[in-house]
Amino acid sequence: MKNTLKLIRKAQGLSQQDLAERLGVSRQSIISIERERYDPSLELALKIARTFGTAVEEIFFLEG
Amino acid sequence: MFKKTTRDLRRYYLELGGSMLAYMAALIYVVATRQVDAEGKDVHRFIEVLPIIPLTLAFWAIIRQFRRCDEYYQHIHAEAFALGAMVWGLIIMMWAFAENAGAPPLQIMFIAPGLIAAWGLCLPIIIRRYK
Repeated sequence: MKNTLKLIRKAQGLSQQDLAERLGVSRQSIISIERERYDPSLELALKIARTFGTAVEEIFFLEG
Repeated sequence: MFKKTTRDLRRYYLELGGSMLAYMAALIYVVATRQVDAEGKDVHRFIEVLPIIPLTLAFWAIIRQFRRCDEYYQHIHAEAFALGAMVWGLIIMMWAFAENAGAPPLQIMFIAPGLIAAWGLCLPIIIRRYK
């Protein structure tokens, strides 16, 4: 699964640590999601989308 | 988040360390009383399994810490445990085949610690995969 998390996070001026604290997860989780090494659960993906006030499919999408 | 993690880790080390100390104390007690009770008292059968109580507490501490982790670390630990269980299962099977060829029998006592060690050894491999 692909994502635009890094772009959206930077556009909103948030650091990885800030985002991790807002979501209640570790910074390493954010790093791995941004590097597309780890796909978050549906719940975490929805929380991320809500944090940025956007739809989940704006951040996460399938390749191709 | 960081403070919470540090506090959680401290609690985990306290719980796990306390359980392991109690486990060692129970082991020492069992070994020390084994000679005294060698006359065949039934009560010693119960004393022999005494170390399982602190060991249960240690396992419980590990499960509590697992549940405190976020989903990313839970995922990593679950995968490392699965891989460790498979590797350890293969080692045990290999040992069983080797026993047929004259290798010394594997003590059942080592199965659970071996599984935990395999989990720990597989952890860096899985962490590397997700970093």
